[in-house]
Amino acid sequence: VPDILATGASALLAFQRALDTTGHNIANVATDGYSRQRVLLASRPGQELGGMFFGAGVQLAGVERLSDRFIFDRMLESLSAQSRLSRFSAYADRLDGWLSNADTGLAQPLQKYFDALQGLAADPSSTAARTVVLSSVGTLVSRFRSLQGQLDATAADIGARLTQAAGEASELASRVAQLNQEIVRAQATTGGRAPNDLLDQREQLLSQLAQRIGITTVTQDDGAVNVFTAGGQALVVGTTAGRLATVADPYDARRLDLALDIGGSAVRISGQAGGGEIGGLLDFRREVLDPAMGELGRLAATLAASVNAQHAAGVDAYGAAGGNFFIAPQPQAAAAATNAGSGTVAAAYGNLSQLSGHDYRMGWDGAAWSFTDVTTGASVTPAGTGTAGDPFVFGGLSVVVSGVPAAGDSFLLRPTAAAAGQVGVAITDPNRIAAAGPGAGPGSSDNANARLLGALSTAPLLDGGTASLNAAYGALVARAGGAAQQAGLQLQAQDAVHAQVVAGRESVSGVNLDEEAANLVRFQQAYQAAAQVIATANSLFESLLAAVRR
Amino acid sequence: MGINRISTALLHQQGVAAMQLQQAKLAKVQQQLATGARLTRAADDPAAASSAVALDQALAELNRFGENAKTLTHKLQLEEGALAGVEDVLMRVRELAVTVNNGSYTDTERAAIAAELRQRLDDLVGLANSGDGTGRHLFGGTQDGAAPFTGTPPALAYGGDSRQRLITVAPGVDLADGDPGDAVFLNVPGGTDVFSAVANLIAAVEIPGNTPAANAARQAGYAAAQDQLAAAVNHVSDTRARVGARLNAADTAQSQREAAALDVQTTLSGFRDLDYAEAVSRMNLLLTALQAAQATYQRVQGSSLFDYLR
Repeated sequence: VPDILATGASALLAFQRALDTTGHNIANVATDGYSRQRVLLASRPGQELGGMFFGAGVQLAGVERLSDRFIFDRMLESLSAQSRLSRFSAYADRLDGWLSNADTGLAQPLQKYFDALQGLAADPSSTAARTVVLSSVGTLVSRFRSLQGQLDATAADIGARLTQAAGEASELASRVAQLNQEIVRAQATTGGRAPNDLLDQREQLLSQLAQRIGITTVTQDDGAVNVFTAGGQALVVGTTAGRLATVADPYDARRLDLALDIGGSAVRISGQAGGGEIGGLLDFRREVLDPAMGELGRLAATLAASVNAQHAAGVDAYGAAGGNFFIAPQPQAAAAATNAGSGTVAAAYGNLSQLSGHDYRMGWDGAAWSFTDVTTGASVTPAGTGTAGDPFVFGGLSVVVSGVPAAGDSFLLRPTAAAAGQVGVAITDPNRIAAAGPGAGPGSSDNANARLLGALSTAPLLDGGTASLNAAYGALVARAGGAAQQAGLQLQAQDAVHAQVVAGRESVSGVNLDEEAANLVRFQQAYQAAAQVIATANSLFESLLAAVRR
Repeated sequence: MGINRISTALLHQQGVAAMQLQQAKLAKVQQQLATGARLTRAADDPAAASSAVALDQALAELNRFGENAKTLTHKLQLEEGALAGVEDVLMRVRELAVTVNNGSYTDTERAAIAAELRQRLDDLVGLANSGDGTGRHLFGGTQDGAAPFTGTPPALAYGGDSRQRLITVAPGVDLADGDPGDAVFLNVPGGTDVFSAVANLIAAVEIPGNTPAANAARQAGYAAAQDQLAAAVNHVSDTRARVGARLNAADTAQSQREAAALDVQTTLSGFRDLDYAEAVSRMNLLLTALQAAQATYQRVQGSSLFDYLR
């Protein structure tokens, strides 16, 4: 039999819960990652009486969390992309600033150096002009070194940030695994009902994780979510989380790579971070920083060797043939830490106009050497056999192998990566500048060699004899500026995409206070009406008692 | 749900983001207006920045050529002055050669003229050893640290060399900043040299006696000396004319440099310099947009249904 009192009581309880939920929404209006909730109400099934059905009030069907999985997946992608680009763009801006600013870039000191040589050519017997050449070359060299220092510091900074981001990502992954455990347990004990606020917390952790590294997620039936890196390696499976960490590069202990440790075996995943801060750091290092270092070093190595060669052709103020003007850089060759054989590799510069600024890896398979251009990934076929008498010749290098390598051994050649930090000034006595041409005697005021040294400013020394130092530096500035510009534009576009995704998420999950205020009014009125139903039931009962009493 | 729900947090975020966006753009335009530069870094326009590196160098080079031209002009003017002096001396010597060619002159009178000629010969050596004001010598070639002509005239030894310095005064314009002493004084066409021409005259003047034989010997000496002196004067004048031509070329190079520099500066300015009118109007637009964003934020955030539930 329908019971008006019970019906009223069911309504009171239902609207109490609805008001509670509205309050919960209002309380979390400023909580990051909160998804609004609403109480689902259902009418109680009617009871049959005299061939008719009479309703029996209202019941709670559940508390719904308003969210959209597809929007959330897009949110993860967008966060990863945004975070990657903002890191990439910030570093690219810094590099661009150093290279294009007159006070930190190479353009001015390079110009001043050649200007000083031209000045010496105009007045070769002037001690002042000689001193100006020495001081301008000192400035040029220290600018090369300070730029190299900035790039090295950037590389170290990237390594430190990688380590930090990898640690944070590991921590986030392990908290996701913990929440998986709690969510699976809660869902099992409530017969499949989701613990809404824990889901919000987990999404929040996943969002933070996506800002560190590109991820994809797959939700399991039991409520757990599995997380994979962009390269497909499992980062969280159920209640188990992998560890992200940095490990030393096999060829350079100071350079850090990213590795994922699953069940005790670490896998290098530097090339597969995809997005997030880690992706931005690794991409910037590979796409911008490494090439910039190689290019800057290429300028330093080419300048030093070309000037030294021209200087040797001249005669200094003592009547002696020109000695080294610059301390010339040398190519770097590093053996892999895992090499088992006794093989060593020595590299020297050959035809400078062929220098590429790229790094090369050479591997011994037990029968032959293979060469790969690390920057482009292309394989390289050198001339020669690698012996002292017939060295391997490629990319402006000449490489001699000695000792006995084991199969699988490899070496990394970094021809110019450190060159800008190695270049120095070899002379301190202004009278050692060989301004005079061949055949001049002591104290000659001949300027033939000073003119030729000055003419190196426009000589096509690089890129197979097509680019001057100045043009190559201009190209470097344009490339760094282009990278910064492109990253900035992509970031702007990504910000717009992200704003749309956020608006999409907010339109489903965000709390609107006006809406909650209206709900507050609605549920309060319903609650008051339900109370009135109980009052009416009471008054009916009183009427009945009064009738019986009569 | 047909209409897009807007959450309270999003409304707030969008309002703040709108203001931040306008402020970021304003900061950029403020920096541009403060520095007068359109490009503040290569990312603003990578291609222009790359060209600017090359153009800056071209401009610096043109300035350097200008400095070089000043040095060159100074040296050539010194040389021209010295050569003018040499011409004057040689003219005087030729006058004396005409004067002394007089049959009534006595040994005593000729001795007086010979004395002046010796003085002029010393003058010539002095001019040939002219300094450049910095301790170097104008006519020593590139071995110009010490006086190039040493010894007693006419037995002079030349200690300089035969090299010339080329100075670039404009793209593709190289000019010599001097002439070596051997070319100016020693290699006079006809196989003589400036000093011997004078010395030969002195030798003729100093032939003693008024005997017919002595007269004939002097006459022959005078005639030869006249020829040699004429050749020497011509040679020095030619050299001086070439110096003048180089000075002219240096002047011409100046206008060539200025035209090139103007071109480069115009291009650079197009790359780098700010269009103030455009920037100021952009700033005004951005300010209006910022004020609109602020006003909108204030109005939107100021209205809430809760205000009416009292």
